[in-house]
Amino acid sequence: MLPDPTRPPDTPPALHLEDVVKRYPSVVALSGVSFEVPPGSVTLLAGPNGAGKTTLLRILLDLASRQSGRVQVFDLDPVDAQVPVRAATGFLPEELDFPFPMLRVREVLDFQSRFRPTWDPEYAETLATELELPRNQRWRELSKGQRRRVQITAALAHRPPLLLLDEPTDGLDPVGRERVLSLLATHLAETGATALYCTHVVAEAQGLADRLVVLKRGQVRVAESVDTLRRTLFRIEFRGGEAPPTPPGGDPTPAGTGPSPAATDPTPSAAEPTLQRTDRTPSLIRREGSQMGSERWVLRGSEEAIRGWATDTGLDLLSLDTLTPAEAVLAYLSPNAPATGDPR
Amino acid sequence: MTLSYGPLRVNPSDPRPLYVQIVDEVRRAVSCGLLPPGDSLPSVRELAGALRINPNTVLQAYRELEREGVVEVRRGQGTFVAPGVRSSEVSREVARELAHRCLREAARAGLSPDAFMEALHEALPPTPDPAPAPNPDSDDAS
Repeated sequence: MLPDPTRPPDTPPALHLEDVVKRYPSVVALSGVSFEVPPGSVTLLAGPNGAGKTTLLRILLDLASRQSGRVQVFDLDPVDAQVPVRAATGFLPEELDFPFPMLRVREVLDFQSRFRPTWDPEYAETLATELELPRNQRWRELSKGQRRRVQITAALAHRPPLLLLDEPTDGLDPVGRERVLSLLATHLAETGATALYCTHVVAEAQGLADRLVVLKRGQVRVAESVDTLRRTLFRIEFRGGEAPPTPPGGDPTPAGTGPSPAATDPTPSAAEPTLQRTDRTPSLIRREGSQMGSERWVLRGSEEAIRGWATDTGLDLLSLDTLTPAEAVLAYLSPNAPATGDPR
Repeated sequence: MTLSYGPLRVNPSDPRPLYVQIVDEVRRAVSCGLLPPGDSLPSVRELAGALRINPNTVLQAYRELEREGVVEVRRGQGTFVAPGVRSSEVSREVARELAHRCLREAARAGLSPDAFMEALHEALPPTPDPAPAPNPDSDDAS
């Protein structure tokens, strides 16, 4: 059954993170991460390597500890409820390792099935066929792509309500990537599962996303539904003058030092978002470039507010366009984009 | 990159949201007769899988098309082109959408709507000389 995207906004989130902090001896992996994932949605967790994505997934499964903050997976704290949380999750780890490399693929799947009470052997068979798994080959003889495909089968075959996917297409060739993305879309349609999909290759997965969370250096840059971003994030192109205009709301403050220009949106993606105060006053997210007499900026704010600001400023506006999710991620990853994760 | 399912094509890097692209594509297929009234649309699962997009997006598009009266959802059976759909009305909607897109592009090129319209008229294939009016008397000339 498909989840109803018009579900009431008070449905409890599938994942809830509040001020999560994780410090390693020499580095802060997560510094006050907060966001929610509504049930039945697909959230792309994007960020460069080392942003803290893998650490975050491991904390959700209690494979890594946290120093402080609140974490809830379907209303359970994974520290107190490790077993049910793991049973409810299809986890695709970043590593392509398996503890018993001598086992054959069918034995690997059999091994995995023992830890998953809801394992569906028929579905596992369908997935194995779809992904062309070499059932009699030993793990140690498998290519990277083959290992990935075995792991994907193991993560989906028990139809878990939650999928935590760490770079799912890593190691796959272009055809394999397409097949896996298509399989994921079908799986989501059939199971209505909630997914947190970590990647630094956003473009290939953007069609799957309901929501985006952009993580950089352990901080949330933006956590928002794709629909809201379509309505509140725009690229403007204008004729550059001799004196550059003052950006609306001043220049973006360096990450982590300024006030939060926009709060994270805690309501599910389908709810009609009321424009936040900050969306009526546009703010500059990124200066994309200035070439051949044209300047391109990415602004956060309603279209009406941005057009109003441009008129007031006397800007010669050439175009105003929405951004694709992949472009939105890039804008928020720019060196001076404001952080909204509000580290306190 | 363009992804297709039959005549339905979407492109995740198109500035239009994916659900709007699906709505536009279904309208286009209905308008040009590829999807006649009563024909079934692909299931949410099938279309999401083929286009590698979120099933909620397909559902959102189908709901929008249902609101517009282009399709009807029959519980447990699937989604069908509404038997009573007037393809001329759908065609008008397709044309309106296309006109808006063209005008946006024209504005980007610094063209006034008038300048664009003029070019559009010039680009039209020449209308053939009006055929000589059939002689109403020719048949019974003998």
